[in-house]
Amino acid sequence: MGAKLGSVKVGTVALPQAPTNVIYRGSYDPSAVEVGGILPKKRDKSPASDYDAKHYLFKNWGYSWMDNQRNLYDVKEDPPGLKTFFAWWATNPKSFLGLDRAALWSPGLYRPSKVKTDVEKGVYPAGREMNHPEYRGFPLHNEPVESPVAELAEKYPPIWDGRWKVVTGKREEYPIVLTTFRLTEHMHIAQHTRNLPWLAELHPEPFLEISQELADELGVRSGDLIRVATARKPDGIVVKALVTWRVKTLKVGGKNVHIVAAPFHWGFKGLVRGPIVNDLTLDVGDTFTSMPETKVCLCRVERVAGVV
Amino acid sequence: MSGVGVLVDLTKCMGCRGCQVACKRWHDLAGEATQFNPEWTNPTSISRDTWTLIRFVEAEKNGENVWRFVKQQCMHCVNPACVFVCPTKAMHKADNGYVLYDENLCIGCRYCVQSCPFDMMRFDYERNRVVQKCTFCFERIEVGLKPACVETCPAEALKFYRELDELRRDADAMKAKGLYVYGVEEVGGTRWVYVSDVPFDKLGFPKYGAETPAQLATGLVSQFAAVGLVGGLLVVWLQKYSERRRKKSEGGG
Repeated sequence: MGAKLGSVKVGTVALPQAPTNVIYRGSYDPSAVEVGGILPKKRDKSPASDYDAKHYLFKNWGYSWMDNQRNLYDVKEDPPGLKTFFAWWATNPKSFLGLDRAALWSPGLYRPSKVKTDVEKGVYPAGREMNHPEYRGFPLHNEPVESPVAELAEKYPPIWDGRWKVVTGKREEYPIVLTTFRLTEHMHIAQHTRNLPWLAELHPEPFLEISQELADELGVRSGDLIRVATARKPDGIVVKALVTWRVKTLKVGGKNVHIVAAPFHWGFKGLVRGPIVNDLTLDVGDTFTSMPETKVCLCRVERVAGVV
Repeated sequence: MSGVGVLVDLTKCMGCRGCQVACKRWHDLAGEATQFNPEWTNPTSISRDTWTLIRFVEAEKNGENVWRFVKQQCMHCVNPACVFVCPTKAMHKADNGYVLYDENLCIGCRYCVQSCPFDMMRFDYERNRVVQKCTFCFERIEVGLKPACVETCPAEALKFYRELDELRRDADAMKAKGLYVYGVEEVGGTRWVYVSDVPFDKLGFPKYGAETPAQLATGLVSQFAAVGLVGGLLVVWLQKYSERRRKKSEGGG
């Protein structure tokens, strides 16, 4: 579609065609008479297969105008001239010639100059700009706030602007990585599912999945009680151990880094109860999206003697 | 072979246990007070309130650890042992091949529970003093629905067949692809047929030949007869022998 003036017929109605408005760009095309000019109507409302029909999935629903195509641009990528071209193309109104697609842009590109970057604010180490999402179209790896390896934390610094105070532990004191996960049988913190007998019976008690290597070090078997403690809760919580091959010890820089995993579905009320795992995790979030970083933190695991 | 059947594709099952909950919901069975089980199987076995159960099995395949989820329930044998041993026809084979239980005829002898080759029946000692087991959801099938567990399966690991022949054709095709099949030959065939990429002995399935329970029992009884015959002859011979010895010793003295 071009930017020429004139009038076009949509059905029987003649509509004046204005120069392309940036807001409606690509969503309205009078030449598409079969949908009355409204391109989002082209989206496919029918399920793609019998399986989709059974489970109410509509994979073709999300129409991305103008031609249902999604382009992702990493403007920091080479070749160097590309960045300049895209910057001009995205910011100059004269550059819009109806050629655009739904695109993901580097957020730094649109940042007003008054707003300070994380590096300028001093919460992100200078010299590592290329790892920060402000400087890059596509996200790169960044270590969590509590990282088990000091060298990695220096190389890929965490994105956290310290907007509130959090307690973090020392690597020597809390050497093991704790990650949390969900079970199929419970939803979120399981207020519903732990109160339904048919679901509560499937996973009645919280547990901690540990690798065979760590279990050998601690002298723990499946079903034994173990204590998991972090800097947020030095007393820790006591749960049952599950020794499994599904959790594996990592080798980072020639050093063993143990990982333990705990489902976080339990609380103090309901048909089945247990300690709250998210008391242990960190209350930090991504600078841009505030996505919580509860999935990873450092912890200490020890055997609780004497009790089965 | 006519009658209904279900093909359980263990390569597709993801262990969500939707079938377990759907069974309890349709049959209005109570939840149980369970404990943490490191194997994740919970409740730990079939019971009066749990007619179907997903057993979590950690097996090995090509030197790698794999996790397989085995659905357990009454297999609805084509030649059921429970029907063979039941003295009152309380346990009976209905149309379409469902193995059903009539509590009005039951005398509570529990032979069926003892005889089941797959141990998929439980006697309810506390409440009603009846046998509890999977009914194949015959009341659903007869009005054109699928069994509750099959209906709910999101992975389509359970497939319901109105004709067992069709099921066995599909099972044969899967066997030709190199998968293992259980339930076509075992104990004379079952209506729940399993397909797996891991050998069934590694998944904890009992090993059975193609003999039906009735054939096995007949064989056993005839062996008893042989043992009795040989034993009787032995007794007679011993009697004669000792008599001769006694006569000999008397004559010698």
